[in-house]
Amino acid sequence: MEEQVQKKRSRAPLVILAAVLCLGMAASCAISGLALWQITRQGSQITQLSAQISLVVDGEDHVTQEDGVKVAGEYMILSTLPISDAYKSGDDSALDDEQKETLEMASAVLDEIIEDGMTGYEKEKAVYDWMCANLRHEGGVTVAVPTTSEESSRPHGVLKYKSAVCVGFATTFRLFMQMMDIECKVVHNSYHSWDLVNLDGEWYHTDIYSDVDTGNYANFNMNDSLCQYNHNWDTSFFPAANGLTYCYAYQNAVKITGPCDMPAYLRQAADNGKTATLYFLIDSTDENLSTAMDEMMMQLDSAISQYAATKGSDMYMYYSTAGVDGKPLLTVTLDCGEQSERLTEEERERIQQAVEDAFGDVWNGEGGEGGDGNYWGGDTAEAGSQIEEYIGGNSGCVTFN
Amino acid sequence: MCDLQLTKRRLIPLAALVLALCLLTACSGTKSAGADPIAVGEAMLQAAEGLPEMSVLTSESEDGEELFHYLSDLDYDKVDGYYFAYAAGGTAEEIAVIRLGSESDAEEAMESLRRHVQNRVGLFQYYEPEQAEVAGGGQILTQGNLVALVISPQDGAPINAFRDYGKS
Repeated sequence: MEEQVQKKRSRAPLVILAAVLCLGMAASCAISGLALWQITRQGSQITQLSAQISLVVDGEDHVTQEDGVKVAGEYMILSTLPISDAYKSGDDSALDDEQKETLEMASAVLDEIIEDGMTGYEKEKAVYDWMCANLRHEGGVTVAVPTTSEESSRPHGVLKYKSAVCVGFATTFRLFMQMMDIECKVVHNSYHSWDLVNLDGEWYHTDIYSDVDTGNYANFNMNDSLCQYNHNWDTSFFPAANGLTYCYAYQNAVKITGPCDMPAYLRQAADNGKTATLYFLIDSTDENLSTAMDEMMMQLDSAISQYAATKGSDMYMYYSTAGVDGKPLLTVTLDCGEQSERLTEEERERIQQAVEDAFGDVWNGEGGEGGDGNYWGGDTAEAGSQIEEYIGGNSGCVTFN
Repeated sequence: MCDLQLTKRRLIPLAALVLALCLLTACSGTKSAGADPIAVGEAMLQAAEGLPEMSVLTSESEDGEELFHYLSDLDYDKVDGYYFAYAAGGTAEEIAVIRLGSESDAEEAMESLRRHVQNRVGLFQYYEPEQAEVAGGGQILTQGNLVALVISPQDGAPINAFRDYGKS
């Protein structure tokens, strides 16, 4: 009995220690739970606060504005009103050195291309022609980490180095217009920018970036309907462009009564062998017009391909349709590939030799030239379908567990 | 026998003490570990076929933190290292691996990469339409605290390379 009491006594400290440890563990769990709850709550509050701060500081409240916004996350649209105001007033004392240099370069261009008595439209067209003839695209705009310089998005760099990204073309064009007192705005979406210009009270879209390689007016003075084919923008913020008086496509469209009038014009353009954009305004009440147009374009596409193959040249046709003045206006571009780099005879021979080295036992060297003009052996449709298979359409998402 | 019982009795409180200490340590949070994103990215790039010349940016680059936003809008505090290879010539191909401080941020990181892919598609649709389809086929992958992006017409090999890293 006494032995049992002694045993119990000797256990007492251990029991107390165990109890303390159990309490400690319970307290630890409670503290952990409380901390987790607090962290979650604070995290949620911080997220809300960050969102509010970004609304105030960064202006990311999705209110469209013309200036002070970045395009492609990189190129800031900046006002050049101080420069155009200085040009009009003849007082450049408020300008900094870079602005003065910009004013000097822009003034020299206007001195060269603008003549007394020109209308607003003629002045605009003279600037468009000068920009297409003298400026070029700045490469590197699509590199994931852009390699273009900030200069290529500002008139100073554009006029000095003669190369630009879209923001550079748009802000330089606007500078010229504002110097000549022609109302002009830079329009933008998240990845592109161009201009809206006001002529005799009506607005027109002009996108020099898209035309600078050809200068073919395909994106010159478009109304909203034409521009919407390959541009999108906040139509609730920027003024509507419904004018037809200076709408280049409308004014230069061939008036036809049906699709059967088109092939002769296309053949003439193909024979010229130069990239050309043709406009057709179709005045027809035929209820099957849309179906007939589809059939015509399909057959024309096939005819152009065979024409190009016969001539051994690169030639592609693409087109778009917009409703203008209540009628379908068809824009057809015949791209004759003058811009593409052609292989020299030496390069062509080197390629042929390499193929012969590998396949000489089964390949006689025919088909490398002429035919369908396809150096890769002709079966691009199959190659294309393989690529489709790999890509699988939309952006995918795979989780490995 | 008696000695064994005594030892057992001494071990129980000791084990309880160790358990309590472990629980207390858990309150201080965990630090991320896992595969090196640069090594994983390099392995994926090596495995890839038919890629054009690629430029590489990593968390160890001089401007690594500053330039991270070109890949993802994820808060950089949540990033524990990254690797980003992109086509130097401005085409769509990209291979990227982000190691997160916490696996719980994986879904947010994947969402940010989806936005990145959408932005690239939007950009290419205007400037290089033929590349938009390639960008649109971007694959976003996750494994533990690693999140990866593969944009390449031939993406099977780099995806397998990423998967293989999880097996090792």
